[in-house]
Amino acid sequence: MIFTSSRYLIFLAGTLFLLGLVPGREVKKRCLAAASCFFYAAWDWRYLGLLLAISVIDYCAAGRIEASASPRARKGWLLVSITSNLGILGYFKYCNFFIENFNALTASFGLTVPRLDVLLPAGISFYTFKTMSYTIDVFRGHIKPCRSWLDYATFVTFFPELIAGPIVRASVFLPQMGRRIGPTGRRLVAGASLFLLGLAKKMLIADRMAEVADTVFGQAGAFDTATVWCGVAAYTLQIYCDFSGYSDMAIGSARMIGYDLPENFRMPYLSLNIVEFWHRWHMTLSAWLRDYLYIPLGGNRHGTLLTYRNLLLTMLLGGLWHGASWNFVLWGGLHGTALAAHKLWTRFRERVGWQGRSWAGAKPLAWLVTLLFVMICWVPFRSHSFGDTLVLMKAMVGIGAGHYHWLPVWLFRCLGLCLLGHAIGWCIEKRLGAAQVQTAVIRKIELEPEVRATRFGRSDSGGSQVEPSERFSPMDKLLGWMGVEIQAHGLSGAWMVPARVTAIGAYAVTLLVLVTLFFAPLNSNPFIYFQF
Amino acid sequence: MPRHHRSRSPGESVLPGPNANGESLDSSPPPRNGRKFSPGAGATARAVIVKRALVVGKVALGLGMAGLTMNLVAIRMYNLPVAPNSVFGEVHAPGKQFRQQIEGNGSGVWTSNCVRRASLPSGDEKPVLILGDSYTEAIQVRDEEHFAHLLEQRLGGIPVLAVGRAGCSVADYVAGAPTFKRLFTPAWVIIPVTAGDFQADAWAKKEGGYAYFEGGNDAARVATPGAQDAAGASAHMPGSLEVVSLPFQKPGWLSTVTSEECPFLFPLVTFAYLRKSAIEAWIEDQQQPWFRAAAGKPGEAGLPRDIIGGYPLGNEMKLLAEAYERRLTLLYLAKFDPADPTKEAEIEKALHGLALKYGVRFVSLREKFPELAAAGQAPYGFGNTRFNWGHWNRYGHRAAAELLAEECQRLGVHR
Repeated sequence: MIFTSSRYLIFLAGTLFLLGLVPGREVKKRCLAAASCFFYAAWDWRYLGLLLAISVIDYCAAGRIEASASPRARKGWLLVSITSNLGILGYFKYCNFFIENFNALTASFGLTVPRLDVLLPAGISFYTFKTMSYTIDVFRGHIKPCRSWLDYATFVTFFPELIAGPIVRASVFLPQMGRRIGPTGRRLVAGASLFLLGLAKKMLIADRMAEVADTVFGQAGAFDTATVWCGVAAYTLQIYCDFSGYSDMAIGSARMIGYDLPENFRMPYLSLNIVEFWHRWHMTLSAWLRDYLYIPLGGNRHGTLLTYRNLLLTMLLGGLWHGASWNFVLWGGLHGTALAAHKLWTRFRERVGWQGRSWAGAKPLAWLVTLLFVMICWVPFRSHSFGDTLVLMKAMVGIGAGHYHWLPVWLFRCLGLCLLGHAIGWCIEKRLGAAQVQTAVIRKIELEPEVRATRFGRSDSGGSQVEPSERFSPMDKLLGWMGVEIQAHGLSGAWMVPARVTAIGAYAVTLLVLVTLFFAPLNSNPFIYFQF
Repeated sequence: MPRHHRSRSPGESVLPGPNANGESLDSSPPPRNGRKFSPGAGATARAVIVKRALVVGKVALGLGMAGLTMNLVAIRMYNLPVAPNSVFGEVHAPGKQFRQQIEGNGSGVWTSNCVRRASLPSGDEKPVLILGDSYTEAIQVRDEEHFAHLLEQRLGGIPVLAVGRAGCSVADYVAGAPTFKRLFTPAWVIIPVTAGDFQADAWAKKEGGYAYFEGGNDAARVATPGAQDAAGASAHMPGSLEVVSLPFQKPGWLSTVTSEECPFLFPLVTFAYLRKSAIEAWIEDQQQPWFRAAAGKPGEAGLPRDIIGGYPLGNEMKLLAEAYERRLTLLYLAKFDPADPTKEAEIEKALHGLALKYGVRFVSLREKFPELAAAGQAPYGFGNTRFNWGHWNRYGHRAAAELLAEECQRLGVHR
């Protein structure tokens, strides 16, 4: 039941209808939990038991941690939780990877272990991280354990983010359990607009770009340098629009129900350095890795060399989290090295007194270098093998490139759309001010019960809205004319939603739907992150 | 330009209420039954109705304009004007320019009878007739890139007539042979074919009442033939072939795509349907070829026993050879493997062998693949589709023209 399918739309509409129909908060939660279980069972009902088992283990472990007075017992229960989660993750996701590597090492001695016939349960990487963060936070005293099993089960099984994130922490989700859930007009408008945006990203750009990327990565060595670069650029667009589109749809679905999920992407390809990239790309994962891996490893508290080691180790494991393949490890290693190099460069600039000094072309150059690096790193991420990675990377610099030439027209159309999206996002960010929408540090988020909205060009706004004090720019006037407002939320980020009915707004929304339906390829690909 | 409204401070209401001194502006007493009474209730209700009507009007305007925009875009990208024809049913409208930018970027004109060229040749010289399916129709390329046009240039003026219609297969070529020969009196016939034209495309089980072959079960069924075709094209061909005429009873498929499916009403439904159904699924599933054929049970006395992949290819090749008195060249459209362009598939070998056996000339586009590969070109696919996927592009057309020109030289069909 992928988000772009009609089955999901029917399921979502049915769930919203049910939540709007049944009375009482507890009954609504039960309905939501049941709907989430149904959603997961629709993938593979056999693994629903596994999901519930993990929930029970962590729920009980957190309760025992809270109840235990001795630090030893508390650590013991934490260990139970972590071992269970990592054990299940390791068995289902990595056992065959380890067996293959073991066999490769011992094949010369005639010792081989047969592969296990194991299916990867959908979303296992995401929900194990989610539940682990809960027990760790309880152990650290950051949150109190959840008293209601129903609340906890609703948190673990919450269907919009169950399969591929965003990775929602208990500290973010559980405080929202007191809300009155169910659809309201405001929630529906905000959620549906974000859902539609995500749908367009996925169907219009990601699925189109998949055709280009699949062709180039599927026949490594066949294409000339220009075509290989086109393929890499296509994958760069595909993975962003695929995953951020999924995240938008998840956040939008959750918002329609009445919950807020954390922002996961914020125009990552505008980053001026690799650190900023990781503040904008898969933000919930990078924050998780930082809080539960990098900082426990020592972070930057034990000297320069250990900081670099910790960075590299965190990113290597982050790479391995994506999939059981050395290609992902290589991808993580490249990013870890780049993060360490950036830290080194920053220190160097501080030492020689270059901090704060820059020349006119510095920012464009920094942007270009960062983007190129990120693009190159996608090669091992997407390639089928190390061999293919090597062939493609060599072809990108003209060594051993094939001679087939193909200029995919759609790449340039999608590139234009993506640039437009990033430009609008950049304008919003500039307009609202970075501080207002700064959510990179997720643990510092203060949950806001109401979304703060900014309307432009018209001043008939309600009390909760913030009026920009400066003069309206032409863009503001255009947005005002279209009846659009920007909702800036401390958790979910900023996005545009229709504020009132206008002909031009109806035109724009309808056109987006029609363009998506008309130009989307007939065969929709599954979301990339479903495989993780 | 945005309209400027007077600002209201938060909490300020547009409805009548107490003034700054706490005095109500509405001095009339409240009704006894407790319900509020307002002398302007009728006016307020009217205002609400007007407001709602405005909202509906705005939404309708937005929807309509978006639908109109998309229609313009769609027509710009996919416009195939059609006209009725007594022999062929619905055909491309003669002399009208078509445009198609969904797969490739094609444009051009047809004459009457589905011949793709600006006008029919005036001389008495017998033409080379190219039949075929969507590969000959080739709406993905411009007229000047079409292989028939390029072949004519290479033949020194001998007219080359391309009559292609999407969905046709061997069964159609066999059954339509008398009509084609009567209309065009060709000096030679060329048919681009794929393996599918002998296999699934020719034997697809579509609807009850038509002849079909249950592949893999060694059982061919011949259903009762339906109505005969309007032009009297042979409904019963030599041998055991049973022909069912299909196209003349059904509505024109091209007009359905371009006009009936594009009304200006209900744009959402229209475009979802146009996109998902009309262009791909509708053509694939509902557009029947002109004829369907069945050849009796494989292995029956008198029938060739060449069964390959569950299909009686030998029987089909024999019927094809007889239908065109062996004045026929098949241009086999081999699959292109970028890693190994010279690779010959088993089905190609089989068809080549059967063609030799029954006196049909056989050339394969594969012969040109090494040249294309050396130039870094694939014969199929376009910039707006996948690489090496779908119909042939201008490189494929050029290669085909060169190959067929060599074939015509060998046959002596040239000036």
